Amino acid sequence: MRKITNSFFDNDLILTGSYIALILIGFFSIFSSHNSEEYTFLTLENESFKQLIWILFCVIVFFIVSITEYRFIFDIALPLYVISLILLVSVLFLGQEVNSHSSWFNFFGFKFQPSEFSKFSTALFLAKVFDSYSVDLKNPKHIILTSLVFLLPSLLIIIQGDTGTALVYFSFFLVFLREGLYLSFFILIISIALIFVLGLLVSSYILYGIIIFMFLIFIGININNTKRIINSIILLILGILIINAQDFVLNDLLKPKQKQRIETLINPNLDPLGSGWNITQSKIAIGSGGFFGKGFLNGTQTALNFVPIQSTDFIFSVIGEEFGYFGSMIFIILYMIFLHRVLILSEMQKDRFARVYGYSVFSIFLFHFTVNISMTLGLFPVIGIPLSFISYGGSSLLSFSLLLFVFLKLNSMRSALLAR
Amino acid sequence: MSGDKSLVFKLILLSIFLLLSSRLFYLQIYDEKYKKLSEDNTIHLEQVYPSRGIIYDRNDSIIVENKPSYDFSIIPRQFKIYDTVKFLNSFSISIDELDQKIKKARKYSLFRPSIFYKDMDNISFAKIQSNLYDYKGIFHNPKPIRSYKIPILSHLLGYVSEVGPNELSSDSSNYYKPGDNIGMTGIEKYYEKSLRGVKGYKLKLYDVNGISAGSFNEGFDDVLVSDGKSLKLTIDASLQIYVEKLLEGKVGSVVAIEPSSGNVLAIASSPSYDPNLLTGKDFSKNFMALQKDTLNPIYNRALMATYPPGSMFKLIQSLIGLEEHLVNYDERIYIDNNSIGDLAPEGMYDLKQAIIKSSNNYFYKLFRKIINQQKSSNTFADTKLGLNEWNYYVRMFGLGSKLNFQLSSLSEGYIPNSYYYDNIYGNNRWKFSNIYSLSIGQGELLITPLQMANLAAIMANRGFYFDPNLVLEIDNKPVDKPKKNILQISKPHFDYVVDAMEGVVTSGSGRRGFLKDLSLCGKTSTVENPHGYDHSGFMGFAPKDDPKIAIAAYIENSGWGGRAAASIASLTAEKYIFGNIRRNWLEEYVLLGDFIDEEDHE
Repeated sequence: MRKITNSFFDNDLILTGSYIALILIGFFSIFSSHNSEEYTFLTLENESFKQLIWILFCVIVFFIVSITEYRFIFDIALPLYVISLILLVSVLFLGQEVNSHSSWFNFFGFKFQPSEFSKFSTALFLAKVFDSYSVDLKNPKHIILTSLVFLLPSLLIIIQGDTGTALVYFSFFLVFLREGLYLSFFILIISIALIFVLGLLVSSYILYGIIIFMFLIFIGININNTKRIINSIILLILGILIINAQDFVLNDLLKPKQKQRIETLINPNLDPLGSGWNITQSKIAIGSGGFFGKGFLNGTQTALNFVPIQSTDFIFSVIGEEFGYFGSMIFIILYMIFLHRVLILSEMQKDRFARVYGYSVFSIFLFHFTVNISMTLGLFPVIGIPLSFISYGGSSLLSFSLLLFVFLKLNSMRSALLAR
Repeated sequence: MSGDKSLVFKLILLSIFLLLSSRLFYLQIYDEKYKKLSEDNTIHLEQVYPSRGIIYDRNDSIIVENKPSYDFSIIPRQFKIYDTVKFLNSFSISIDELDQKIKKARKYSLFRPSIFYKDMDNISFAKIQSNLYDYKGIFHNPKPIRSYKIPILSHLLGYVSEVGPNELSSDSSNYYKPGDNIGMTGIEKYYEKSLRGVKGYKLKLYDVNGISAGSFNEGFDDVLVSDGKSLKLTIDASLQIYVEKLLEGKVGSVVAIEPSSGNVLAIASSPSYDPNLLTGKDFSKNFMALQKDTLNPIYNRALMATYPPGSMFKLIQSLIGLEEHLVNYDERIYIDNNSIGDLAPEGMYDLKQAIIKSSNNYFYKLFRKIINQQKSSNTFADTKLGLNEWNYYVRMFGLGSKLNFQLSSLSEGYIPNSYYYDNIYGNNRWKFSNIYSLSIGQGELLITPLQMANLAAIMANRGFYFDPNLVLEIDNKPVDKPKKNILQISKPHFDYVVDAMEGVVTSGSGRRGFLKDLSLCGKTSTVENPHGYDHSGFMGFAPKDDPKIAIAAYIENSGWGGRAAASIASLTAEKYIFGNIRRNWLEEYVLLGDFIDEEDHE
């Protein structure tokens, strides 16, 4: 069905269409979040006007990406990765501090965040590593070495103080799952995280109880299998260690701000005007939307600026308030179509490079979407990561779009590759 | 796990979808609470301003405290008044001004509060308080402002005013909001973070008409305000009051330091101003007036003004000469007065007598020895070497660079080196005859009164000083001790020079400052000045053994150093050490301020 040549129309229409729809929704939401009576649109003071400039910039990037060659994308992966690591290191020394993150460069008033760009370069390089070295995830050595590809930038971003963005890189584990990581190993990592989070909610004695109870049941089932008993003893010790480590991480490793964010999630009343204020006001804004919402530009909570940072991290509260349950569900379904399409297309890729890249793109968008929306709904700590394509912010919009454009490009060359 | 490898991911997508849509359903459809909360549109976030930290002197007397004042803000959409005349009278504004204010507020936002009226004092507020209920959309907010019981130390304390666009844009912590106060200069600026405290927030309920209906959730969710930390200064308030009194009507400054610690006991610059002028709603008016004043009362002469040191600089020349072995304690030489103008008689001089009589020609000769040590056969090169060596010594005394002090608005002064003269005369085009006025502390030398006092402290300590310090305690916790700086000049030389300083007061040009059991040691300066009468300078310390106070006084255009400056310094020492003044005649002489005998000047 697909032609060997590729042009704009070879791009997947569902994906391109949903992307354009999301960008437009984002633009109008930012517009609405800054709506007031005396209004001048055409100034650089205005966030929605700035965003429009960035959108136009994305169009240019789209056409640049669409004329690149497959080989070029493949070859540029390593240099890009190295450059982004250099940028991540140098921003520590040369960057500008915003909200106690030293993660911004300032070019003539336009701020640029290398940690956004490095999501793209890391995804590309990860794909290249999987493809070039035939990574076998049954081999623990391979797992560790390949993980370094994303752990390295993640670590640098943690040093910058932006733990939220650093967490995004852990979504690459989803790629590992697709590329042959044992499901059990994956579940192990997830349960470590789960025990960790549970430790915040309930007393550690209850956790000890649960773990020991599960251990006893496991022993009971496998009473005749020595190897499994040894394994479960190891797991028991590991579990107990994690429960203790959780206390250490919470009290010693995390910055007070981050600790506070986690604690406020569990009980917003602890800090009703700090992190709690964000969550409470966001919930009020969304909750007051009702079924059909208050209508475009008619949100009172957002217009009154009750929701802080609403054009960036809490942009969904604008949608929730102005378009209600109906609009929010359409939005979420649209996003789901988008994510599902990335997933389907990634699975359809014939070579490993494109597939791993596609899954990386999927994982990053999935993480941002899930965590950001959960944040505004009070389901997840406020870790300050944007909603891809919707939130205000030039470098994030551009790097998310670049991430997608390259995937579109690789996908459109799928049949061309077969002919190679 | 066969076939479709993306199945796990599809399941993940599905579960996320179910989670989010059910949560949305719960928030938007099922739970009515949020709708109600937003419909009432009732919760206002109000700032509660902390009281700035109280500033005490070293004996715990209050220097700076706070008094209540009120800010009013307006929310244009809710604004509604029934009796316009009464409203205008309450704020004593005209109808045009009201229109302007509303227009400005509307331009900012219809829904958000903007500042309507600032800094209403306590009494005016009490008068209109009962009417406030009728003014819808007008909200008041108490904001403490600075108050000075004893109007002293205005230069050093600095002032507090509303944050401007500059402060807002450079505030990386996003603490300040328009309408907040910030320390703009002096101690208020330097210790801003300690003094300001932490703003609190109150959640207040308002009904649809914008009328306050009490606290939200019974105040349970409010963030408590935390007041600023107190400062305990090194300043002795009673000494400061006295020094400022002595300086009244004169242009100049006095700095007093405790030599054993570097703690500043008093620091005054005249003319001064009442710090109460720079608080409250007349701030801008008063500030403009002070700025326009030709005597420049805002200018802190003690830290910022630079003057030629004059004869007090001979002490430094002596110490350099002794350290370089160019002169011995008992060496006597004949001095004729042919090289430079002089008030000291010709005759045989040792170094001590030269200091006591302040012989210009003696120090002309000594400085020549320091500068031209014949290290190079070329006179020009030799002078250059000598000058730079001399410059190195002089800088050890804390001159020519900023002292390490809490306040950053500090002049460096100036100690010339070879580059300076190369620029003026050209390389190898200048020699001793071009720079000889440095020998008696005139010429291109410039130092600040603070540096002079520090010099006095070096003499008092016989060869070291502590960085000058202003603060003893923050929030009742002692601050770190100032750093000790030791000069590379041996102590016996200092002992010798201090003996001479004692002679200056007992039998030399500083006699007017003599008081029997005070044992003041010092040196006067009478500094030539192209713009009028000579400047009068004095630096010294007391008592000679175990010094308690080191002082510099520098009074512009007041003639001989032995008169205005020595008298003021001596009285300052007397006041600090004995607590009262026995020489009423000297005090009257200073307060009268008529130091110039016309006969002295033609």
